[in-house]
Amino acid sequence: MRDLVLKAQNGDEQAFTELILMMEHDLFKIAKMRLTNDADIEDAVQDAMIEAFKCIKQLKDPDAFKSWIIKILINKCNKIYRKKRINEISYIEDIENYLIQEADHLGESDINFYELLKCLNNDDRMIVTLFYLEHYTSKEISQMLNINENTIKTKLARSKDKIKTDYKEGII
Amino acid sequence: MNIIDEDDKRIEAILKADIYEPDSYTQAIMTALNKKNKRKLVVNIPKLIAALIAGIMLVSGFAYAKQIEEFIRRFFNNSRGLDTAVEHGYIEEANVVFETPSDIKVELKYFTMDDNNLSFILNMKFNDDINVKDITKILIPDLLIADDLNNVLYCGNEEKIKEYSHKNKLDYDIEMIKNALLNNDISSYKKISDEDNNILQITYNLYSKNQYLKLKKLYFEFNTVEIYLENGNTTKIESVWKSEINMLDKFYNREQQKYRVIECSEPLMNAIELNVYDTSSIFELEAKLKPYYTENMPENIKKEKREEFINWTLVTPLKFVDNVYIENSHGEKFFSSESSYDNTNIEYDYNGKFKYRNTFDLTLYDITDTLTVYFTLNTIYGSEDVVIKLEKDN
Repeated sequence: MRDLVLKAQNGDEQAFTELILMMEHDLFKIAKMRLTNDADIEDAVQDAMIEAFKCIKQLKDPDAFKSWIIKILINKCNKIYRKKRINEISYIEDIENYLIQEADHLGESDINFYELLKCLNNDDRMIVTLFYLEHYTSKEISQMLNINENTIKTKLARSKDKIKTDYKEGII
Repeated sequence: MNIIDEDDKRIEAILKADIYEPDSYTQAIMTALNKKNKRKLVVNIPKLIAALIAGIMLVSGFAYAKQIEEFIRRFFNNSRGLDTAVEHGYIEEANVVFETPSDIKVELKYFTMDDNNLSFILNMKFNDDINVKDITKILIPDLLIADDLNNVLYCGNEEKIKEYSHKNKLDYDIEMIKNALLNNDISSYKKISDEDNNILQITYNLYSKNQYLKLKKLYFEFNTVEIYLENGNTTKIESVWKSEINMLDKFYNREQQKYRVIECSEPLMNAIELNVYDTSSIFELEAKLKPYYTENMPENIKKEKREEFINWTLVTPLKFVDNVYIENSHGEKFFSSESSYDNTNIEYDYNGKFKYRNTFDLTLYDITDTLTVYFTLNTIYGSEDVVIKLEKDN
């Protein structure tokens, strides 16, 4: 990835394209932690990509590209999220509606994914995703979300317990 | 905390498994990749097709004449400002039929516009081949709206802009694309289907970052209608649909009311402007707040402070201004308009430069001689409640 980032920093558009295509599914999942509407997710990812493309030369550490673009994406998602003033209840309701509307397209892995989202609150969803999907450390997540590292550790442990309980009860 | 036990593995597996992504997501990625050097060119095309699922069914012979305002309100109900304007008659029942050889007949039913918003309702009547009951989504990807001087106010398709420019011998350049695409945002629309007459009704609400000019006429045209059916099939119908509408005096001679500051609780705020229009109002301000570092600090400290600042902004971008509303002297409160995603701009940097722009649901029909703007200003130094009193600037 480092080579691609360096090429992209030198203006190689193909390298940037490859970087994005490597990450597009993860970007979708991360945005899904914050936003339920697919059109909003598309907007957030598009905006993040464009901002990343415009600013990639300013990225000092090429190895930090992924966390950098994820930060930008979280920022974009937060912007849309706050605009729409979504609260936790409506997020869950939106997920329920999404499951109903997209029922024909969804398989078991989708259902598990969304059930997992539903059992966690807003911040915890993002923390769990960054930890388990992207394998960031508590310290890195702490820097990305600007939340105290110990709080991240606590939230991760609590989230894991919650998921474990829901699994035992057959919810997930 | 490391991934070690079975629970961790299960959570990881759930998150790593492939999940369904709509086709439009891939399209959005490819569009942004293709156009990244020109910023986002396909503006909210997904939103064009987004909200056409849950509609309100109408029975035949519903009370157009009796409760026309109520009827229209249901279309524009995403915007309190637009609703207020409609309630005060700031709407035209246009009933302009599009010229077309196609079997899909289109009528421009209702229309309203001011400096920032352009909203209209299209009726689409289908032949017997398509039943509106079966339509889940509909898309007019190349809808183009132009004025009588051939300025393209809105177009959702770059090729269509190119074609229009060529046809009208206009310079096709990035400025034209910016005006047609980037400076507009389709904010929402809803659907009502009249099953008995096989009519689908679509509302378009456009918001412009530039001000719409005072126009004599508007032209509408498109060549493509994409219809998504319940059985999963998609039908693409290509033809030509064209119409034009003459502006009524109330739209052409529309006015705005400017306000000036008489009192501000934060002395560092300046360049404060409030302009009120028929369907909304725009509030803007600039300030030179306390910088987070000064030039005479050592380079390593400056670098550290810049990074600290950036990390702070990444998690609090829209909280710079929070709990914002405008209150008139009757005590009525008007909040940030929900009609567009792109109506807010907030900039705050480590030099203390601060800019804010937002659209509110306050309209010309709501104003009083004095107005008060309230908000919480959140900077890296902390929070502060700001109160700005304004009066009519005649």
